[in-house]
Amino acid sequence: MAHGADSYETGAPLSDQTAEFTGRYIVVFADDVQNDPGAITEALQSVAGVSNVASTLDFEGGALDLDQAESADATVFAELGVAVVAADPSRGAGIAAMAEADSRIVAVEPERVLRAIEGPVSLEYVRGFRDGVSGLYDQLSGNGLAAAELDVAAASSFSDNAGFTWGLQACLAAVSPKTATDIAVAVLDTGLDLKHADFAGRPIVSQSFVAGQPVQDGHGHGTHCVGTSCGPKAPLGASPRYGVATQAKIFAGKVLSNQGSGSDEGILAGINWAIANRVQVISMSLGADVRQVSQAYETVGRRALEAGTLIVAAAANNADRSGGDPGFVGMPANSPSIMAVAAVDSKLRIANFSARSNPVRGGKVDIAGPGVAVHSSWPMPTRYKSISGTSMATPHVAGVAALLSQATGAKGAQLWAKLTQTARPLSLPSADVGAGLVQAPM
Amino acid sequence: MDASLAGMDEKITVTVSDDADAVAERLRAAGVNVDQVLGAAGIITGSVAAERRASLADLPGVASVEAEHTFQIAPPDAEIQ
Repeated sequence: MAHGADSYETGAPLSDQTAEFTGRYIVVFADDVQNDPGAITEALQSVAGVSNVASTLDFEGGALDLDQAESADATVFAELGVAVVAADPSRGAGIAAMAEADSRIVAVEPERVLRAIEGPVSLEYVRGFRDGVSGLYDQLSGNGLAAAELDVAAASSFSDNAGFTWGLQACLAAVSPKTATDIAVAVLDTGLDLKHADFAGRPIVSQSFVAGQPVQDGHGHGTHCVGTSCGPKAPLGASPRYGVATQAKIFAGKVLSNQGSGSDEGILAGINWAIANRVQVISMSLGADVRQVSQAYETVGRRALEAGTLIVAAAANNADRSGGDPGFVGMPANSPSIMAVAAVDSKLRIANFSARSNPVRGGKVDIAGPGVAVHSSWPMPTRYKSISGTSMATPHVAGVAALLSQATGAKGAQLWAKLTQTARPLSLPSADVGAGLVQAPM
Repeated sequence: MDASLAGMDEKITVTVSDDADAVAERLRAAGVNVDQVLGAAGIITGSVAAERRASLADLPGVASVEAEHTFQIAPPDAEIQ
């Protein structure tokens, strides 16, 4: 075992740790046998004496068959160069000792308990494991086809009901006890309908950065985004609740004109305003189809994080997946310090228009939010409207960020980490959805 | 420099790595018409004659000079926004 001794020896003796472990051991293979099923099986047989081996290579797209995994003595995740072997502690120690002298094996580690398990090997546990590995597989292979066929333990299909939009249900805002009291969210967009009944009585700070146009939203996009991120607990019209952070302090910055256009001048001025007002979250449902990272936005994103302000931005709507074009994350979401948000639909499938990661540094999708058929506020007299876009996914993430900031006290880079750590993994390539679906704190 | 560009003003976005007010003074001295000094963001916006733009990057405290980007969202009646 070339480098693996550390991982085995850092823990206490196995007998003392049995309760923390699953009764399985993770065997990590050397690079030269990875992806060679024959060599892996041979190595497993020689160190662990097992021959009944299930391998992800046996299944199309690396999607493991659960029944077979349960009945096998060992499961090989060939793409990862890892096998999971069932063994009691004394046998585990024996495997580790054998592996010590075997150059084909890098490490043997007791598998840790990741969640409550009922019985020695619950199907749910294995399913979770499989979904996680399938996600890794997708990352490594860039293949999302097999993963799309996987089922998930939690609900994977939502619809608007009398109480909540599907998006609020999917991102758990519907059941979160947090309201983002004392947290400020800046929405930099086309402004807000300041006369909309659903925002009456809310503390709103507003500012226009568009010459000659007041904050009053003459487009609709801004009112929709403010609604999703910060709409009320009980809308006054005939509408389910659609707002995530129901008590957040709203900073409505108009940086896009009533005609939907904007420039650095207004957008950067809006960001500056938000940072200077110490808002915790900036939501920007805007972007340009430019692959290259702007140094201005990257620098501003970094300075914002340092000041305790997280900027989330729409990945882009430039994909046409059904036409074979996955698109690319645009500017400014492609800045490493700005969180790029993809859109999923109510069945947690990637939206046809939602852009895929862009190979530039920082150009990856970081997280996903509900972004298809999103019901939210619209300037009066229309009042409510359902539209789609990564623009609609972004304020879901901004609202949840506000809830998380209230729940944990996290800001800036720490808040970014909380968002990605608590996201719900999806059976989709991370190039499309990043860490997964944003989830509100319980 | 293309002669046809001479005298034409370009909108620029300058990222600063120093005190923004001090950098703004240097930019003005270099011929920039400064519109905004965004201290918290560390950004200066303005315009400058095209033939002068390249030299701005060498000024102390200037991290980058970019042509101003423009953004356009979909019209209100679009299904995808």
